[in-house]
Amino acid sequence: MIPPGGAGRSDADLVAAAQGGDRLAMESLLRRHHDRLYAVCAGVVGPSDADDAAQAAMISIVGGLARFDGRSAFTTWSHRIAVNAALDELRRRKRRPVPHDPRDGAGDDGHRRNRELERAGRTSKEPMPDTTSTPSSDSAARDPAQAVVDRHLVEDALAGLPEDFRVPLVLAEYGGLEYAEIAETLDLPVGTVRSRIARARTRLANHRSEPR
Amino acid sequence: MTDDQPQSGLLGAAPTPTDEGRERSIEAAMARYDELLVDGRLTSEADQGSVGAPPSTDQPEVPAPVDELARRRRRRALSMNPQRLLAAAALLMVLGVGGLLAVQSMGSNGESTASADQAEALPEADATAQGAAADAEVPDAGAPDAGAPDAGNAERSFDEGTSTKVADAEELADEPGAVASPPAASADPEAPSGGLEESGSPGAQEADLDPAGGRPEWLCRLLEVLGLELCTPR
Repeated sequence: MIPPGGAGRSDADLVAAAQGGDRLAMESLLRRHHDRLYAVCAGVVGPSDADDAAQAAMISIVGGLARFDGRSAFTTWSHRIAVNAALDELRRRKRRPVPHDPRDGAGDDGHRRNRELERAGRTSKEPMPDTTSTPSSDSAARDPAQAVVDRHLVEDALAGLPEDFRVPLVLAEYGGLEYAEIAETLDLPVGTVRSRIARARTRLANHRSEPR
Repeated sequence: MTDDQPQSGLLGAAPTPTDEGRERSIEAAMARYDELLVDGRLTSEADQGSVGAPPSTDQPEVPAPVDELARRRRRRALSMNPQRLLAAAALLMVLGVGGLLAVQSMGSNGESTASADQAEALPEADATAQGAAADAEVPDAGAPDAGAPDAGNAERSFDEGTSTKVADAEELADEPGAVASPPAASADPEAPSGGLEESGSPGAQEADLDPAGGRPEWLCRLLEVLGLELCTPR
């Protein structure tokens, strides 16, 4: 996916080249980080608005790159921008009226979920499977519908977490950042990040084990 | 999961964008990149004066998300925090009660000072009362009303040690005419009450006390300076 111009080059090299007007370096940098930033945005705002949030993050990265001086890692900097874009998207979404879905009342996400389940050969009215296990690629390999259900369970659980817990957890799980990087990204003490992630996991586990 | 690597796989596989979404996103970003290229160099949005500027020059690597989170945190901490409101209310209450107690203790100190002065004057008052009673025992000691103020002074002494003499004086004061005679009618310039006035204290203190609240003059002045009108204007 990364063009040959970016292969084997560090983020710092690509940044410097992009700042100097190297279009290929800029594109390589964006492609290298896009999917991870998209995953972070999806974790924060949910999949229905993730595309918009990720696009806003990409544009913001380009807009701010001229002032990026490399004091922090590009990964940390870009994740901060992605979180900001996702939070902005959340704010915009709160201001938007949510269309009522007569089938399940879940709006855009409800429509999307039903479409995905229909493609997978299930309906949303079927009973939920055992949710105490961690969703894994094994279940997706065995049953695509199960994978869809698992993913939506995770999305629901994430959406139920407060932002203060959700953002660090998403940065850890989807962004793949270390505690120190998350702390730097969110401008929080490392201990706070650790405790928030732990509490987020506890809440997530409780949410998923609740009877439905 | 290592100590520094918090990834646990709890959320499963990370969501991935569609190819279409990815391409659209990167195309939009590259279009912005082309706009920002000036003379072969990338310029920032702030340099071009666009809205939604990127991080400032001072903190070029502090984009808005953290600011947003910190702003929310500060706002949440400052507003609608019942613990803070309770603490503020308790503090105000303690300060208010403390101030009240201070004012009251200042007032009672003034009163106790006056009482102490009165107590110091008591022996003299006793002597005066005794003298007055002795005078009253003398049938021709002058006009009967002359002893009345002395008896009044003796009553004011509240000294049990002088009860006999005081009782005598009271008997005298109970006589018709003696009760009716006003204290100011004392014609005798050598009357013991004059001695009391010289020694000064109960009468003088009474003159210095606020007539309604019984507060000393100095306290009334202090309260006036503080803007508290707790003393009755004379």
